[in-house]
Amino acid sequence: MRKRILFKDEEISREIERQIRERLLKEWDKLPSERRLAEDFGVQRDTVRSALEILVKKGVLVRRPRRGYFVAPRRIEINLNHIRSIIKEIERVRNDNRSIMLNFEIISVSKSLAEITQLPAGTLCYQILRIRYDSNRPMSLERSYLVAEHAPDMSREDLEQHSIGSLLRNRYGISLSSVHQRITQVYADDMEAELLRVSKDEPLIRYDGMIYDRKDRLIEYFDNVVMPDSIEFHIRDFA
Amino acid sequence: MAKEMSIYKQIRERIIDEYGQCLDGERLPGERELAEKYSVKRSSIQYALRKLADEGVVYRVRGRGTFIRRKHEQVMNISDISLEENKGISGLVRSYGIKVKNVVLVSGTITGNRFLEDKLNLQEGEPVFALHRVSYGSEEPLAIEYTYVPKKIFPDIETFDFRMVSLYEYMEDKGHLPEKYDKRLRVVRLFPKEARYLELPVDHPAFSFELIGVDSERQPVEYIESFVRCDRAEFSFTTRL
Repeated sequence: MRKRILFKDEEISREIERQIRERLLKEWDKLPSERRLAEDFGVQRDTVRSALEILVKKGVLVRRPRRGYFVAPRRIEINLNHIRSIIKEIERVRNDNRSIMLNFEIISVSKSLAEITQLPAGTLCYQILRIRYDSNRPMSLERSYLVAEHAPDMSREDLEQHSIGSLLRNRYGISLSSVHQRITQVYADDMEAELLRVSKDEPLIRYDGMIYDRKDRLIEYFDNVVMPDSIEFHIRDFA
Repeated sequence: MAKEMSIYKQIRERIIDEYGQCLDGERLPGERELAEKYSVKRSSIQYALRKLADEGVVYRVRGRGTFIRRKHEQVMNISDISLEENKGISGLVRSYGIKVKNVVLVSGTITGNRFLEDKLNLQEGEPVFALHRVSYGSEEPLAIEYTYVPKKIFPDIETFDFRMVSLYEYMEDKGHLPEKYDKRLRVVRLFPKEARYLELPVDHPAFSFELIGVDSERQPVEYIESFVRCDRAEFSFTTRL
């Protein structure tokens, strides 16, 4: 017998995903019942359930016990082609989510931070810790280190009223020109688990990177941990 | 369970402190020796080593012992996927000096899959050739790669055996090598089938890539879904103004 290329559940999961992408189903729409889907696709309920579970693991659907399957909110897309898109995401200028500054202090760069950033240990930085919520669900914990020398006399209030980008541009005349970033998978530590309301050792995405200005000076190092199902990275080599 | 966890944490810290700086592939002392050294039960050591293996800090070879893995020693640059010599995920991995062996799981023609038709910009009913492979790096499963190409561009593709012939050499021969890519990177939890091939538990996190490759005329010539072990890779990318 010929081997199957795609199993029935894989085919159905892709078809449901396609319908969601085509906006036939929208965020938080409830999916038809398993029985109904089984009839529509002409398969067993087990096959439908398996297809739906694939989409849950993919982060396309959310399962609510006893209530059924719902379309998950779209992932936030970070377009790595455009520095503006990255800065915008890092700065959280979006209407549909809010961020809270948990901490603002001046620190001197530790040995381990020096190793990552190549800044001399002891360099003074503003350390900003924020948590971002997406419709009341904690989405990411964002640490940011701004080299104080390049942005003297910055205050917590400044950052509450303006975005970092506009402060750097308007007050300090700094124009950002490149970002070198890294994407890894990590497990939540105690603090991350508590603030993001997940269990310890829950997988998270770590998205960290260095932002340089036109003079190639390191302006900011950001180190974010993000809930895996809330984000995707997109790069396009062509127009 | 809670007690086991806290002993595990202590053992974990000590092992990482003591052996974390070891070279990649260096062997840890045996379970019995570690148990004596840390004055804990051998079962605690076994538990700790299993967890450390899950985390990718160590890896175990049956009958030979436990070895240190320098985590994320391979930082792969996502933009390198577009380079001539490293197409696809296995090409990318190979370009970092890892010996990659591809195993073909299944190949053949699919018709009427609207999801794939959309990805490849095809009309309804146009056939797609599928090639499902697992890549092994240093004998360990590293990535699964599901490749789909439009048959109308490669009509004779089914006569080739991609266990012997490189897909990209074939595509180049036909004058439709993917030149540029549209890439999406997510972290997902593994489904049972992919978990089995990657030899990881179901629900284990994995990088998931979706790549659409276009040829010099900007025509989609391949669509790839790939799952890559998170503990074997990290990805970097530089954006310039």
